[in-house]
Amino acid sequence: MEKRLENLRNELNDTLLKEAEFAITSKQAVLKTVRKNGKTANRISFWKQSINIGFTAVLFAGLLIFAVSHVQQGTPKMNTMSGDKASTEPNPSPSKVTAFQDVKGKSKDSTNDVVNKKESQPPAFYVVFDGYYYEKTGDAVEENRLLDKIGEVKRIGDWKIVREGDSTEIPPGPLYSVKDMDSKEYIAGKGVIYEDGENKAGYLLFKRAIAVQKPDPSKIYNAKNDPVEVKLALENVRQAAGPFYELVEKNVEPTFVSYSDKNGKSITLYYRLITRADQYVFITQYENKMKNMDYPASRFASDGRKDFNMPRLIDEYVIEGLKWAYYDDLNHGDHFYVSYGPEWTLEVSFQGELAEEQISTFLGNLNK
Amino acid sequence: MQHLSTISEELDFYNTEECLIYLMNSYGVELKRLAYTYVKDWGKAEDLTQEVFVTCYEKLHTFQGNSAIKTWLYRITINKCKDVLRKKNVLDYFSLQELSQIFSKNEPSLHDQTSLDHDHDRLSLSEKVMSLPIKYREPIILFYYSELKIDEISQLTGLNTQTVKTRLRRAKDKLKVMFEGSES
Repeated sequence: MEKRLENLRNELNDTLLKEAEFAITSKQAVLKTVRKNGKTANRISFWKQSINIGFTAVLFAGLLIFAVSHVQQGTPKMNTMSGDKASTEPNPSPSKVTAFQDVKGKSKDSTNDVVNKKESQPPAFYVVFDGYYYEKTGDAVEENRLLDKIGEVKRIGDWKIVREGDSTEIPPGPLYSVKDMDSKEYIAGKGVIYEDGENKAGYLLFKRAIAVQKPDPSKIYNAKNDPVEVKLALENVRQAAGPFYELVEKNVEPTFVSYSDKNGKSITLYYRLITRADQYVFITQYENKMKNMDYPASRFASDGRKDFNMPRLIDEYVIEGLKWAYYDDLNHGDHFYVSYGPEWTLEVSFQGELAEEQISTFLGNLNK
Repeated sequence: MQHLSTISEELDFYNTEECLIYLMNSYGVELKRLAYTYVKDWGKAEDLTQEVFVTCYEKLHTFQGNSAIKTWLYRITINKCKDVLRKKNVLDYFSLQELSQIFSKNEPSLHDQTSLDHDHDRLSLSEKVMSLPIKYREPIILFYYSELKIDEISQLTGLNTQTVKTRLRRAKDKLKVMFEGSES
């Protein structure tokens, strides 16, 4: 299940969410609305000024004219702006239209200007190739213009440590040079293009932007799913938090690290069983000085809920010298284990059907 | 991403309309997709995305850069989607299956159950996820699709982290049952 879900982004983007083009007409409608709202605000301030100087009569006359003119013109509502409806409305002034004209073409629209000015920032939609971010241009490339396979997208997602072959836009697959284009400047990869009013599979053109910068590894305290980032975050948390409980067990791998020092130190760790990808161990620990009733991530924290049920103690055990309390949690419909160590309070829960012996082994293998 | 949080710092250099265009081009599709996962209607998703950017423009000066701009836009989108869902007719809240269970005094007949299972057989993972009630669909989408962390989801949805985790777990249990039903 976990593996299937990890592919959810690709699958949704390739199927149900394929249609998602934020139409040019919609963008125009947004601009039109904000410009209109701006004008309205100016008008209101003008009337306020009129009141201040006592021209009440002028105010009423103005309001009358204002109301009449609006009734005559009609006021488009936000929910009528999308798609074809918006296209029936008059075009914005020519200077503003250029921002959206031929987004798929190579026009120097103001958006690109903005993007170009932000040279120091990685683009939002990119592939990483040859040490550079290549930014999505919005142009499609016909298949017969693809030349050599020059690289490969290896993973899709948003990561702190960006690697060769990462992309926020296209799924894993080959990258190509393009006919009649400098292969250092432009590359293409298969993604979703918008053509003839619909989304379809096609090749997207990417233009070289800026070199990939290495993040400061000492500032990574939170990570998910990337083994390198998770390892790095764990090491940084070890430095920052001092000794805390980790699951020392060869059959598990950490997949999630979250650290906070707000009102006291707290750490959340997820471990996935290597043999069973849908089975997890969730460990939340926080300094004893943080009362579990107040710590929002604690199962004992009501978080202001009126229907909160205080977890019910079922049993107590001593495993490897650590005292554990076993609780029934009606709020979450499951059970969890709590241990009050000398410095940390531990709350441990499990996903997947685990045998009692296995749970005891895991709890026994929690070490500082 | 780190660079996204620095956009607000540059607002002094770029007028907000340029910034709005940049944000629409950068996040329009993503936010529309997110909105669709809530309202399941492309027309509404498009309208909601427009509203998000209008709100974004109006509130851009209040954006402090404490969170990534993506998170900020996500929050606006989620809130607007939930407003729409709250206003929806009661009939829209429930799937046909849920309605049949609500109004049926008896358990579904074996025939009904079999036909429901067959429906699930035909569904892909995407459709199965989208068929979950919003309570469970939301954490699945935000965690696996939007690739947000539990803490981030907690901040965006206003739920505590344990609730997010529990909903995520239950959602996966429900999906697992659907898949087991399909595979048996």
